[in-house]
Amino acid sequence: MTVRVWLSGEGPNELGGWCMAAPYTRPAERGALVAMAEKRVGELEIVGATVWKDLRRYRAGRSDEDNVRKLALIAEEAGCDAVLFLRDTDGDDEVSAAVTRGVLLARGDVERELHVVGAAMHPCLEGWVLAWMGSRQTHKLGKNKAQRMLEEQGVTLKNTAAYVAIVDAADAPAEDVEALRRWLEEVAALKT
Amino acid sequence: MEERPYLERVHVRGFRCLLDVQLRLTRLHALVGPNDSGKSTLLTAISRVESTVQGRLKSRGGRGDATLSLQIAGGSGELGPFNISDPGHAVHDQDIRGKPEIQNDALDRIVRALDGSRRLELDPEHLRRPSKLIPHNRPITFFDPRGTGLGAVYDAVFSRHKREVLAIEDDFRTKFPTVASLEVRNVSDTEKSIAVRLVNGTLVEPAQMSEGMLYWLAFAALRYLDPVGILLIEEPENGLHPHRIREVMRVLRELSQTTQVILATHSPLILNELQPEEISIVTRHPERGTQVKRLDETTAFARRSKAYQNGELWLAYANGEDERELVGDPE
Repeated sequence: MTVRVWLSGEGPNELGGWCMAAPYTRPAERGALVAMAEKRVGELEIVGATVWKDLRRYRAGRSDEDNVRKLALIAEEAGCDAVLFLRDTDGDDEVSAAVTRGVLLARGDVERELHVVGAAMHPCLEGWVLAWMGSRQTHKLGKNKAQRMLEEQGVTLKNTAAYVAIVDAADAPAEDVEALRRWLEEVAALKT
Repeated sequence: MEERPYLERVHVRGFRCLLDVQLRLTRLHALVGPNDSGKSTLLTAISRVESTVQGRLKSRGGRGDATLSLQIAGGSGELGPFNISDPGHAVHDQDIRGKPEIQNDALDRIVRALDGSRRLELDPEHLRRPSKLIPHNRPITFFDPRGTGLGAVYDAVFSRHKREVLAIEDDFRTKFPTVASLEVRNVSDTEKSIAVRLVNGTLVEPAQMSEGMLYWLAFAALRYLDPVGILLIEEPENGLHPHRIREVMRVLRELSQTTQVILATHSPLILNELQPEEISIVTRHPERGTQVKRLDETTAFARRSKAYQNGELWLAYANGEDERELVGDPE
C-alpha cells in the first residue's frame, strides 16, 4: 500500500520539485528527503509540500515548535497518512529541542491517525548526505566543515540531483548519526 | 472603573446587504472578512440604532423596512425591532418607554449601552487639517469620522488633562525617538493644528508628519474623548507598524471597559490580539446577503487553534471570497 505523505523541508535539496508552489510544482523531481524515505518505505504518494519558511507565523519565538504543529494540521486536513519533514539546525541545539517538542505536541494534537516523522539535521542536510556516503560522526561537524567535506568528495553543493543520486546509490547511511537513524526507523514503521 | 452595559446580540433585517443577519458581540469585537462582505454596513446599522436612543428610543415593526433587534449584556431580553432605514423612509414610531415589559433598570442599561456612538475611519489628510477650537464647555471629540480636529482635540486635552498629556508625550517620545515634544500650534486666530518638534529643534508641520505618527496620536487621544457607548472603527491597522498595532489594541482593550469597541479589519495582527470569541467572520452570500460566524464556531476550530494563532488561522483558510474553508459550505 502506498503511503500518502505531506512533506516539509528547507528548500529544493530536501523537497525537489515539490518546493515550488502550484502550478510550478514538478512532482517528477525528487529531493533528498524523498530519496531517503523511499529507501525505507518504497514509493510514496506525495500529496503536497510546504517549504519550512512558508509556514505562517507573525510572532517571534516558539516558531519551530509551532511550525511542526501547523504541518501536522495541514497533513491531517489533506488526508495524509504521514507528514515527513527535515529541518537544518545550523548548529543551534535549540532548533533540535524545539523540533522534538513540536513532534510530541503535534502527535497529541491530531484527531485521526497521522504519523508525524520529523528530525532536525545537525548541522544540515550536507551532514546527512555525507553519512549516506559512509562518513562517520558527521553530526559533530560544523556547517562549513560539512559542506567543505562534501565538495572535497567531488559533490557540487546544493545540487539536488547529486544528493539524490548519492542516497539512491547507497545501501544505508553510517549508523552513528542518531537523528538520521531514528528518522529512518520511523519512516520504515510507516509500512506497518 | 465602572463597566458599562454593552450590546450583546444584534439582529438586522432588510438593511442594504444585511437581509437577515445575527451577530453576537463582546466588549471588544472585530469583524473580519472579504471586501464588500458587509462589515462596514454592520457598523452603520449599529450606529443607526444608537441614534434612536436617549428619549427617542423608538420601536416599530413595518414589513419591508430595515430593522434591528438587540439584546444588552446582563439580560435585557430581545428589544426591538428598531427602524434603521436609510433617510427618507417613512417611520411609524412607538416609544419603547411605554412598553410595560421593560423595567426601569433594564431601560437604564439600554440607554447606557447605546449612549452615543463614535465612528472612526481615520484619514491622514483629515488628521492634518487645522481645525476650530473646542469650547471649554463642549465635549472633546473629533469633528468627523475621518479624524478632522486632531489639533483641537489635543488642544482641549492639553488644557483639561494636563497630567495625562505628559504621559502621552512620554509614550510618544518612546515610540518616535526623533521627537522632542508634541505641540499644538495656532494656524489662525480661530484654528489650531498639531505639530511635533524634533530633538534637533526642527518643527515638523502636520503636512510633513508621517501617517503612522498621526494615526498613533489619534488612537492615543481616544481615552480622553467624551465617553460614548459604542466606538466603531474601520481598519485601525492602516498605516501602523505591526508593533504599533499591538499597542493600539491595548488602548482599545482598555477603552472597552467603558466603551464597547467594534472594529472592521483585514489584519491578522489585530486578530492575534483578540480572543476567538471576540472575532466574527463576515461573508456575503449572493442570495442570502451578509452572514456572520464567530471564529470559535468555524470549521474544526478546536483542532486548528492548536496550531495557529487567530490571525494565522484566518489567513491560512480565508480565500477572500466565500471563506468556505472557514465557515463551511452554504446551506
